[in-house]
Amino acid sequence: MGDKKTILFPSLLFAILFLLIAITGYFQIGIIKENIENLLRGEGEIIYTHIRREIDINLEYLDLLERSPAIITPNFLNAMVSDEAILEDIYNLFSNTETADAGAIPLSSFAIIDPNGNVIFRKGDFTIPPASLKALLAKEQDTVLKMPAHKDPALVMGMWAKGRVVFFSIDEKELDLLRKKFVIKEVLEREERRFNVVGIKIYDEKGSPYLAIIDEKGKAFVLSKPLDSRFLPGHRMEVLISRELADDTMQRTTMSFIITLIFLAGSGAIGTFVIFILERRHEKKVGEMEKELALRERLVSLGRLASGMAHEIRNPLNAISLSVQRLKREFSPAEEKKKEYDQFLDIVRSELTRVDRIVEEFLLSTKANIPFSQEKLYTIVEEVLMVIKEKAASRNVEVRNNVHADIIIESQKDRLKQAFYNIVVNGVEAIQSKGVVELFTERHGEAVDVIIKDSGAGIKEENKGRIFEYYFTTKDKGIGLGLPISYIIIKDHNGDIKVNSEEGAGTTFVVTLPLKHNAEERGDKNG
Amino acid sequence: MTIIIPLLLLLLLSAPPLFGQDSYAEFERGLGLSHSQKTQMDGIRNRYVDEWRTLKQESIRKRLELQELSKNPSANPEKMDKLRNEIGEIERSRNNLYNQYRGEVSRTLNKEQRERYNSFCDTEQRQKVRTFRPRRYGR
Repeated sequence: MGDKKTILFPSLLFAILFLLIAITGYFQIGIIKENIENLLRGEGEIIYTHIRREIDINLEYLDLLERSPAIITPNFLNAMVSDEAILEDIYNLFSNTETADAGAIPLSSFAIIDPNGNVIFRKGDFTIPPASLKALLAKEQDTVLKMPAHKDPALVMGMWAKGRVVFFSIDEKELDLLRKKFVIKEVLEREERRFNVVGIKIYDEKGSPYLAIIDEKGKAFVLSKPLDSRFLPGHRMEVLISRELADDTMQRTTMSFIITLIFLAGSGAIGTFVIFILERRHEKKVGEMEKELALRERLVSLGRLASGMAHEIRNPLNAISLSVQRLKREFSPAEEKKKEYDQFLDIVRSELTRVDRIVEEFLLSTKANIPFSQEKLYTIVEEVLMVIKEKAASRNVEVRNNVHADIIIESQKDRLKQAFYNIVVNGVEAIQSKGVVELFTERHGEAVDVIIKDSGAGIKEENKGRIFEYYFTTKDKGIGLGLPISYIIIKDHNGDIKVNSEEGAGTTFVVTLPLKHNAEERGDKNG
Repeated sequence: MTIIIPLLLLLLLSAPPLFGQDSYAEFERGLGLSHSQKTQMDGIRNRYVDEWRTLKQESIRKRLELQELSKNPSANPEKMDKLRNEIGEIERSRNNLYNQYRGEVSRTLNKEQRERYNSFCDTEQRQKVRTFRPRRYGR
């Protein structure tokens, strides 16, 4: 449940943030798209206005040319040569068209004649000048041309094209339309190049295509508006502007937004996971601290109780001990009961000594106000081992002191000795037959780890969490005080004690102790 | 104040429209040609137009001939070059003819009209509103 809560809040917070960013981004992209469309429309409007003006100006020249302007300016001169280009286009049209397809040629009157003088295709009604035809067939001339004149306003032309003789006649009206179309086409081609647009299309008053200049195929923004020209009434013009740049911009914008969202989602997921992990670690740590605090409180309160009791017990114990001594010395029974009497008294004395030791240990464990002093760690350990060595030897256990000789530690020497004594004895007793208990150190800056490693049977998994509890023991004659007392002493030294044990592979106690204590800590301990 | 507003309105109405300043119609109206000048201009124009028409006819004939030759792989290149030169010659003749025409027209105009005429022609050439740009035939 706690895990769910831990992950739910940051996930929810992140989901809301992600959603907000996604919505904002979506609208932002929409705005960018709209702005780009407006830009394209604006560009189209400019081009449209310019082209319309160009068409009007140029068609005006054409119109005035028909009505004989007073003065010929360079533009009129240019307009005059349009017929040359128109006729050249017609020539190309006939050159590139098969006779069978000649019906598609957009001229009202023309005829195609084979080299023998037979008309093989005819459209419209017009008279082929016989003399011109004869001259062409005889190849006396390559082309014959009669330009429009006042008497006969029709343009008549004959020429060789694709191995055939072609004759066509263009009346004044048709020529005017052709000139107009040519002028507009030239304007569109020029402006299409100038503005680099995809294409320009003009539709006539019926909506049929009139002229189209398409540069390239592809996506284009189309601005369609009535041409609104007095020379081309009812016509409509479409300006096609390339969307390449706009689409590229949109694509890049969308892509960067998606990448941002993916990055955000990734970092959010990682962030949530990290929060979850940290929270779990924190909870675990808090749990451990709470557990440790509870244990410490329990040990301290029990210790105080025991200490009070110990003081109360010691006086009657002394009295009992003295009384037992007197009983043994002065009230010896008859000879036949003496041996048994002495045995009982010895048992009583032995048990009294045991009770006294327990009391002594309790009292020592609670003497937190003993002053701190600079001591050689090696010496402390050596003194402990001196006491234990005999007992260890009797159990065939070797005890090794591999503590660094130069480590000076600020400690309550007797209490610390007591703490080490309890742990080492615990190790010695854990070894069933032959074995080793080794003590060595590892320095970590201002702290030292005293490692007490035994080759005993190890601690069972179910007992690991209970070894520092009062009166918990697995030994037949144990009283369950040694390790709890060591724990309290180490904690009073602002140290820590950890146990690593594997069943059948021995146990390692790691006692971490600070080398120095600040005045406050010393004051606390020194009362 | 009562004078300024009508004056501004008058100026606004009398000023040619922005686009109209580029148009030939505005230019011709602005020249203010007299009746005799118009008669002279018509005479000059008709004379030159006939010559231009003849040149145009000749140019078309030669260009189509060049087109026909350019479609024939076995065409004589020398003949094609000759045709190109002849077309170029016609272009030059046309331009020379126009310069002559311009000179004659200028002589019939007074100083102010001449300046306006030259300025208009220069503007047209500068703007290169060359709807009917010459093509490079047969290449």
